[in-house]
Formats: sequence, structure tokens, C-alpha cells
Amino acid sequence: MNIRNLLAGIAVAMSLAACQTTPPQNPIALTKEGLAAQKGRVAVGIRIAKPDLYLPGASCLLCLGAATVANSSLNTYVKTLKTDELLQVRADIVESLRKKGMDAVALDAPIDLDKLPDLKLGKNMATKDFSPIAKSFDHLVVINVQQIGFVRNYAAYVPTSDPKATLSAFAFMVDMKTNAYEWYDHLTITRGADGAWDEAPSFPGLTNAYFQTVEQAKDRMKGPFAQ
Amino acid sequence: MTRGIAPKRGWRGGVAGVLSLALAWPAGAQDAAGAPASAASVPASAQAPGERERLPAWTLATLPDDPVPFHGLVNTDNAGLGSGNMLYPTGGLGVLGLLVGVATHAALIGGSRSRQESQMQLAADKVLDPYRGALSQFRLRDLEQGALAATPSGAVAHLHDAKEAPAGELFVETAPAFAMTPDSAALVLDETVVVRPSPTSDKGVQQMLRVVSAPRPEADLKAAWSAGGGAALKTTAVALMAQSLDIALLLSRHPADDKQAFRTLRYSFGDRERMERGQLLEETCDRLVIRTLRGALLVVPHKAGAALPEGCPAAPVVAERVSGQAQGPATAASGVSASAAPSAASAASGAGA
Repeated sequence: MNIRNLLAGIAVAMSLAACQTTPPQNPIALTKEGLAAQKGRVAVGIRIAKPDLYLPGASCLLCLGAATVANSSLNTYVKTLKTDELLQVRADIVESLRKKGMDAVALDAPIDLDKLPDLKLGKNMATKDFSPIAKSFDHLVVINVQQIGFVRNYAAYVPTSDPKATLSAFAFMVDMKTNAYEWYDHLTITRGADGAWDEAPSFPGLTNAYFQTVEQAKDRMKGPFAQ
Repeated sequence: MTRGIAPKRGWRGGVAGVLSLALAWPAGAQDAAGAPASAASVPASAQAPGERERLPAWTLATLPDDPVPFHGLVNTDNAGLGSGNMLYPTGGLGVLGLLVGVATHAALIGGSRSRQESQMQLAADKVLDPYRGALSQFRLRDLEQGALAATPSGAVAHLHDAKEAPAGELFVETAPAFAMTPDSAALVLDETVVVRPSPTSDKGVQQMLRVVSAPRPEADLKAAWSAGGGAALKTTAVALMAQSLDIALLLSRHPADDKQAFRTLRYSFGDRERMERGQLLEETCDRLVIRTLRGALLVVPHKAGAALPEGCPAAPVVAERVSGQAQGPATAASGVSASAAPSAASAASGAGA
């Protein structure tokens, strides 16, 4: 093996190593028995991203600009959509927990995960230290809606799909004493408009799909606590 | 039944409830010309004092003698292609080469998407394959004759071409199209209805409606729909169209309150639950009437296990699918309750008005 091949091999190995990321957290079910066994105070917090238009595949700067211009009315409209009904899931979870006799409280302030200290405790353990926001609680439920609004796939300059409503979130419950996940769920919901989508300025078909994703997400998030 | 209205079961009663509450019928009904409707023109069987307005006589425009259109429903949630990157060869032509490359790419993507849409529609249409034979004998004329006989609108109704329609009667034009839910459990009518004050008038009230039947309870849906030469398909279609005509006629004269709050409402769509963002115009023991964000009307059965309005019968409105074999010949429309089915069935036999 000459020195050129050796260097090339090292470069490839380093590139692959750089691609290594933390493995994704697998879902952890919250069973009825597990929930019944929980004791102590529970805080429920939520963070919801602002509704936006996502254009995956329009990756070059010029492509993104062209795609944004081509969808300008939808881009303007999506920013007017409300998330109040999704926010209600926090109160719904608190109510479900209280019905089970738990001392549950809603955290009013939005949770900013980026500002929390990182943790590296291993598999099925929280990757953030939540003590700054929930130190006085025994359990913390977090709903983090990372992406909400509309998505339209692109291949460079060319749209490859019609716009659809989308919602991507993860939700979990952490034992504040051990930082272990007691429940973990990740959901991505995509719904197309029933019929035509291009109905500016109010996009009723896509708006209908948007609120369907909101309801579906609420069902999924509330489900473990309502069982 | 309706909230605030005496309980009544069956789709006729349900619609009457819708109209009496959401549409706020005036006590003194008048015809299109402004004169009080003649009591003599109202068939006795259709009269329900205190529940509905006496409409003026109306004419339903005859449809072509074609087969009733039926199709499958495409789920668009997974339609479209994925995202990806693309490097455009310019062929040494600079910007022009890039433009040609983008145009070629767009044409290729457009072709792929078009093919995908066609394939999805073909796949969705397969749900109707077992019933093609029966449906080929089901003509639009039969459908509208049956619907005309079954509609509970309290007025004399005729079936005529525009040229032959009696002057002074409301003139109703329709464009019905039916679909079957992907699980074969229910039928869906999508219809545009235009109600004109007279056959010669250019003006009219156009209403888009979607009416969904209740899911059939039989375990063997294919047998249930196919029995008797597709009798259940026909009676259900007739009942759905009669219901749509009734609502469209009444809405044309008394638009519903548009100040209702918008919310996400759930209903049965075959055996599955669906949602719609809209205004709940009325809720009966059998149905929800929703105005959608597009302004269309959605008339749908309650979702399974729904909390029904006070006064509704304890029996489930949406029956659970029973296990075992088919329940024998399907003689009544699943989209209507037992009390309305005989009328619908007789209507399907071709009794015109």
C-alpha cells in the first residue's frame, strides 16, 4: 500500500467518524401500570415552533430563493396560522394527571431546550439537564413541537410534491431524580389537502389539513396519560 | 336529537332538525314569488307542522341518461415524490443550458407525478370492482327519480328539462358523483346543486355538498352491497342525493348563520374516524352538518362512540361491525336509519314525483 492510498483511507475513515452522531432515542411506552405507580409532583411544559413553510430539497441558495418566491403567498399565509389549540394539550395532560391523583402543574414559560445544559448519561437518559426549570418537581413532561406548518418537497428548482400540512414533535417524561426517560415518543404527521391545495389567499384545503395534524398530534400526546 | 329540539331518529328527522335550528325557518313561509305556499301543494306525508317550511313547488333538471358516476377516493397524504438534489449539466451553454436543464427536469418530474396520480386513482377505483356490473345498470335518471321521491322537502317536485319546466317553480340543477370509502363501508356523495328561482333565471344559489353515509354494519361488506343486484348501493345513493337536495333547497332560501366558531370536528368515514375544520351548523342523533373552510356543506355520521346530544336514543348510531357472516340480503340503505330506509328503498324502485 503506497502512502497515497494510506492517506486516502485515513481521510475516508475520518470523514465517516465525523458523520457519527448520537443514536436516536427509541420510543419508550408509558404503560397504564407505570403511570399509576408514579408519585410526587409533575410539571408539564411545552415548546411549539412558529408555523412555517418547509422546502426540503431546495438546498442551494438560488433554489431556495426561487422556491420561496414560487410559494410566496403560502409562505405568507402559514405565518398567520394559530397554535393555540395545540398549546391546549399541556392543560389536557395536566388534567389527566390530576384525575389520576397526581399533583400536576403546567409550566407557563416555554421551554427552550437550547439554553439547558447538555447531559451525556447514555441510553434512555435525558440529554438535557432540566433542573433549572423543574428542580422542585419529581417528574417533568416535555412536549417539543419542532416543526409545524406546511412542507413541499423539491429537487433543486423543481417541486416534487404538492404542499402538505406537517407536524413533527417529540414528547417525553423524565424522572427528575435520575434523569431517566419514563416515556419517550417521536411523531411526524403529514397530511395532504383534500382536493385542490392552491387556493390563495386562505388555502382552505391546506388549513383543514393543518388542523387535522394538530388534532392527531394532540391525540397521540394525550393518549398515554388518558389510559 | 338536535340540541334543543325534540329527539327524532332517522335521517329525515335529522335533516328537519338541522333546518329548524341552524337555518332558522321563518314561521310564515313564502314561495319564490313571495306568495304564501299553498297547503294543497304539499304532500300530506311530507308535512311536519312546526318543523319545516313549506317550500314552493320545484323542478329537478333531468340529467343525461348515463350511468351514475362512481369512483374510489385517493389518499393524498403520501402523494408526490421525495426531495433530492440535482446537478444541472449546462452543456457549455451557461445560463441557457441551466434553464434547459431545469425545464427538462421539471418535465420529467411532472410526468412522474402525473403517472403516480393516475396509478393512485386506479388503485383507489379498485374498491368498486366487485360492483361494476350492478353500477353499470344504475342510471342518473333512476337516481334522480328516486331522490325526488325520497326528498323530504315539503313541496311538489317535478322532473323536467329546463324547457319543459313549469314557470315560477324553483329550478334545481345537480351534478352528483359518488365514491366508496377505501374500506368499502360507506358511500360518499359529492354534489354541486344550483337552485334557481325559475327555469329561465340566470341567477341561482350554488352549493357544494358532501354527504357521507353511515358505515354498514355487516361483516361481509361485499355481499351486503352486492345483494339484490346492488340494491343497497342504489338505495344508499338515492338517500344521499335526496338528503343533499333537501339541504340545498332550504339553504338557498335561508343561508345558515356564518358567525359560528370554527373547530375541528370528528366523524365516521366508513369504519375510520376523520376530522374536518369547520362550523357545526347542526347536530342530530344521526348526523353532523358542517360548513367547511371552503364553504361547502359536509353531512356526516357521528364518529363511533361519540357523545350524542341529550335525548338521543341509547342505541349506537354507528353500529359496530359484527363478526361472522353477512346478515342476509341488503335491502336498506346503510346511510339511513331504519325509519327512513323503506322510503328510500321504495324511491329507488323508480317512483317519480
